[in-house]
Amino acid sequence: MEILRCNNIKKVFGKGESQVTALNGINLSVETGEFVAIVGASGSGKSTLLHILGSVDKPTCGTVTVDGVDISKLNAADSAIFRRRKVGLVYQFYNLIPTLTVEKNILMPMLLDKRKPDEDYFKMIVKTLGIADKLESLPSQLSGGQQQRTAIARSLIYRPVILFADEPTGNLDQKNSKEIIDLLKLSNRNFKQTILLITHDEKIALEADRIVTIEDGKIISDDFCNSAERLKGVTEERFIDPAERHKGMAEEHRGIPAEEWR
Amino acid sequence: MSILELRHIGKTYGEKENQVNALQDISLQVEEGEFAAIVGTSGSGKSTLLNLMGGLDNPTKGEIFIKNREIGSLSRKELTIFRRRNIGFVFQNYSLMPVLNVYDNVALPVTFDRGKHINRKYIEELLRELGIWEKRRKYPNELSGGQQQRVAIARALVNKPHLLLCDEPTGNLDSATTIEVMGLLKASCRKYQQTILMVTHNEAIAQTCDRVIHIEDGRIVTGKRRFPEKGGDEEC
Amino acid sequence: MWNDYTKSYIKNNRASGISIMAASLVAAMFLSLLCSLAYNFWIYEVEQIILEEGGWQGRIVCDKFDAGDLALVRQFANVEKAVINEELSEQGEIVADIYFRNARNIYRDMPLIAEQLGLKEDSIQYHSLLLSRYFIHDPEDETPPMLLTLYLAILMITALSLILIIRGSFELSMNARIHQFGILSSIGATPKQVRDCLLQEAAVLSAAPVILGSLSGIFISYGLIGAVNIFAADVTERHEAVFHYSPFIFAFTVLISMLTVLFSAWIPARKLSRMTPLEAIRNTGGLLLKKRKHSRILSVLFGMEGELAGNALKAQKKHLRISTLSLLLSFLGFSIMLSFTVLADISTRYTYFERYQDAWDIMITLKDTEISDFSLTDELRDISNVQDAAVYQKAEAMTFLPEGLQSNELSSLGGLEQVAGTPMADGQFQVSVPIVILDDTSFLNFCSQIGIAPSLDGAVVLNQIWDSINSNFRYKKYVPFVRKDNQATVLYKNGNSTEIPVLSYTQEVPVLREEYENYSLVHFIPLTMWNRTLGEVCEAESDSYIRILSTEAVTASLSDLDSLEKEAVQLVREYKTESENRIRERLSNSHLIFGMRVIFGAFCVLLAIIGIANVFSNTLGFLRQRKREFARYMSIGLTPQEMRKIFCIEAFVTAGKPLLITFPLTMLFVQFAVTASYLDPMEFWAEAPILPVLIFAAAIVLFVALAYYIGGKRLLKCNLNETLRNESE
Repeated sequence: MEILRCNNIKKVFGKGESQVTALNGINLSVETGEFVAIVGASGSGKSTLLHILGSVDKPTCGTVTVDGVDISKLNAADSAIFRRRKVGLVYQFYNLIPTLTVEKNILMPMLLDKRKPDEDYFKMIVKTLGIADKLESLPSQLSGGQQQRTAIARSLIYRPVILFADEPTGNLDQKNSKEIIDLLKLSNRNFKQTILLITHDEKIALEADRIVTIEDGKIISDDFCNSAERLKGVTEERFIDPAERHKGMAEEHRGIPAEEWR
Repeated sequence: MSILELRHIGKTYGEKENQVNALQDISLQVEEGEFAAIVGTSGSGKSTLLNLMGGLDNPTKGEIFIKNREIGSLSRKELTIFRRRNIGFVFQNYSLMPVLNVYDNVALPVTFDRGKHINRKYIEELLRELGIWEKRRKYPNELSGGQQQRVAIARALVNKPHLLLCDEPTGNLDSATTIEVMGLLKASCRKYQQTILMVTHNEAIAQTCDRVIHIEDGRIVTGKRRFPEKGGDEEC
Repeated sequence: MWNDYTKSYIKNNRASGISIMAASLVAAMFLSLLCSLAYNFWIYEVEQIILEEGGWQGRIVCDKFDAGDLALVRQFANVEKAVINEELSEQGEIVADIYFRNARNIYRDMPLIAEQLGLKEDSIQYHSLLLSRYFIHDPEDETPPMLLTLYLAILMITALSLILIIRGSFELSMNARIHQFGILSSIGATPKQVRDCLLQEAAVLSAAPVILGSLSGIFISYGLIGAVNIFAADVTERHEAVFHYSPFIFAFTVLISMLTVLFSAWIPARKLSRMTPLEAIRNTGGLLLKKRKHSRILSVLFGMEGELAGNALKAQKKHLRISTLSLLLSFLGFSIMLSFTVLADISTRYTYFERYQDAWDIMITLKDTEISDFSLTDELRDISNVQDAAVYQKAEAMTFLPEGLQSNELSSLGGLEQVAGTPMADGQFQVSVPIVILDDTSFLNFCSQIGIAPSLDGAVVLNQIWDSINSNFRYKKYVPFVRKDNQATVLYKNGNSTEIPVLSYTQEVPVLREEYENYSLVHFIPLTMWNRTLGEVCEAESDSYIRILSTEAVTASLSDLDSLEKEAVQLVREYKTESENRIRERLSNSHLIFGMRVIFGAFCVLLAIIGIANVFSNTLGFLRQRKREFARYMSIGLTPQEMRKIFCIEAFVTAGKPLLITFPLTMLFVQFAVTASYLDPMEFWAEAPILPVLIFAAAIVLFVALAYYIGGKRLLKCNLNETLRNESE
């Protein structure tokens, strides 16, 4: 089932001379249960895309359909309701409410709807994420990894149809990064959670089922890979050792004549 | 001659449970005229390292020598003056003063030195070279990201520093602008015999530098010297 | 560069500049107003004292004091002037007033002077009231009068709170800019340069507002004193206040304000110099709670948004303190002031205007006139429209009352000891005897009033004593004071005694606007009797009074009484007089109360303005810091309506808190005051100033809501998603 569809999204910032085209005709379709990684260098437009998909921002033109709803047409209030019920958002800098306890932070989206959270589900999430003993702490009393787990728990509490993660490991060391990615994979496998992960780190992207590469506001490649292949060990061109790959890219840059570097 | 030397640098953030070792036992030497890249993923400690080198932050352990002076022994005032005469900074988010126009932003560091007159010709030369002379009366919020970063580079160069430290200078720029900015940095390195240290997470950009230093979880993984001649193909 | 940066900053950040300028202006204005008023009040006090008691500082009272002694006194270096006070000096008792160059040494010099003159310590007098106004206290006095010190302390506290306002507005603007100073520092500005920059900016921004504020404070106080003079023009025993100003006050207010401004700028600068540039760059100044907090009430009332708003308020507590305090003080002050004036109004009406409305229409005070020297009594009665005119003078003597002479009623209450707390000596009570000397005609009328044979050969004794055990002062019950056995009273005064025959004991009083001392035995005496007996041993008060009743009585209009008053005064023009009439007095009394309300109300409004200004600078100044907070809310899925709700709740709490605290406190005050003055609470509630208080409250709520509305609107207009991506912005 198709859960997300983007049709020719464009996004332009600024006016006149300082005008920047951040997204230039993005078409994308995501099926339920997929784990998609969107890869691109800083400035490629991937965060802008995520903001539009998460209905935090509106495209300049084009449509975005999530779970059958065209979110590019929603007004501010409806898109806020949509955001809290249908999608989960995880950011690099956690964006927890500093004045609320971990428990309240996680339950926020439900409390805003004056709904009673499902006790068992809540307990399971916090247990899985390993923050069951931190529920009464304030975000500032937690380590980065714990804060990110809290943010993930918050994004999952409403059982969103899709989870957007913007560089969720950007601020964490390797050990914590790996744990966070493993948790995302776990929720993808166990709860059939659709996940859209944005990263600049190719190694992390390799954990996903599908890698979409963005450069200068355009999708330049969209590759599916199945887990079987990954288990076998990466041999395909796409999954060469990152260091090798980088060298390749570096070569491309060196190829540019010196005048252009000036 | 070594312009920068780090001896067993360590940096720890936070307390008790939440303690994070951002950097552990980093030792490093950078020669004059080098254009070196510090590469690592986010959270690897590369920005912390750059900030320590520039005296923006204090290390928990170890010593930093710039031009053979141990900067930890300097007072706040001495350090600031030392920094503005010898080190230029370029940040990812440009860090321009929003209330000053382009020209004043660039001239700002010169005015910190009392009595030092502003070399208008040099500033004009810088701005022309960076292609922002026409924008000199504009305010930062009227400029695109690439233009803002050029202003930041001009500001970093205005005091003719020996050492230029750049933290993800191309982090917010698209690829075409990235190439331009990198070119500008390289050219300035050559023209003014500067040493440039640049932090990036982009391997491709790093590879265009003379030397690549990899950092992972607060430690240098490999730090071998690469000499400026092209085509060198050693492991990084 | 400093000029460049400072100038550009001021130019490009009008809002924060204006809030600082406004804060400096308001605070300097208040400070100046306060100092100027205090100064004028002090001068007025001193003038009043000098007017009433003379400007002497030390005094020598002895039986012999000649020119040689005077010359001796004048030889003292510190003595500026020494004169014989002719007015007070009598045969055998000379009073010499001494003025000092430096009054601070008076308690050291006076004994020396006395010693030189060969006089004892007890012949020296100090004008301690006047001296205390200059903070000169007797070093040997362990409990010097501290009233003025108390005033000074209040002044200091108010000044301090004003200073906090300036500081608060600076703190906000500075905190928002630590990031910028971090950048400055990273590109090579030394801590000292950053500090200089801040100080320079502070000075530039606030120099003009401080001077302007100080000047306008002077003008306002000038206007206020003028207003007081107008409102209080009819008050007797008051001299007109003349506006005074000293350049020292101006220098003081400007200096204090400027110091505050510079100090306020210096604090963030110092904070900054302790941070590494990186910490400063990373400083986002966001809201942070140190401890876990639950806003139970708000979350019960408003759900999740209530809790969020409550926590945000708690995190801003420090910054909101000034607004909470000033709003609270202004509203509390306003409602208590109104309740108080209403109570005072009711009270004077009962104790004075209504009680005496039949007792007088016009009163004329004959200054320094003995009743026996007044000869126009009959002529006064002959004025048309005069129903009755009585002339009287008061005197004071005492008597001794054996226990057995107390009335049965008094004895059964426990006797004079219980009722009045008068101690007994030698089996007798000493009782004061106020004497009212009535002109003969009035006395005879009084005799007819109480139903005895008119006679001028004795006194009528007011035989009543307040039963303080079974009644309160507002609704007094009386019992007879003495047995009616005695046919005469022995009165004592100045060591002499005389016996007055008692014509009758009565519980009625003549129609006079007089209130008699509690627990005393009032004697009404005809003038001829006074002249014959008591006048010999007992001096009367210096003034005599004429009480005139108009034929129109209570139906008289202001113009009736005015013309009658004029006519009567015209008749007695050869005497030095002061006159008043019932209706005009009532008018000027309400005038005075009104004036008091206006002045005090204006003060409360100004306080409210401070509070509201602070709320404005808070809601607008915190925008940058709160952007991130609201971006987070947005990312979780708060609708704009829900975010607006958070603002509404914050506004509600900010404005509601002072109101909620004030209402019970005012109730308590009213309850206390009503009980203490033995008024019927219903009488107060019938006239309670509910409407003005509600209007004031509504105005506070309205302005606070407006501040939050503007702040919230601006915030929601910002592009919030940029904030989510970046840690430092």
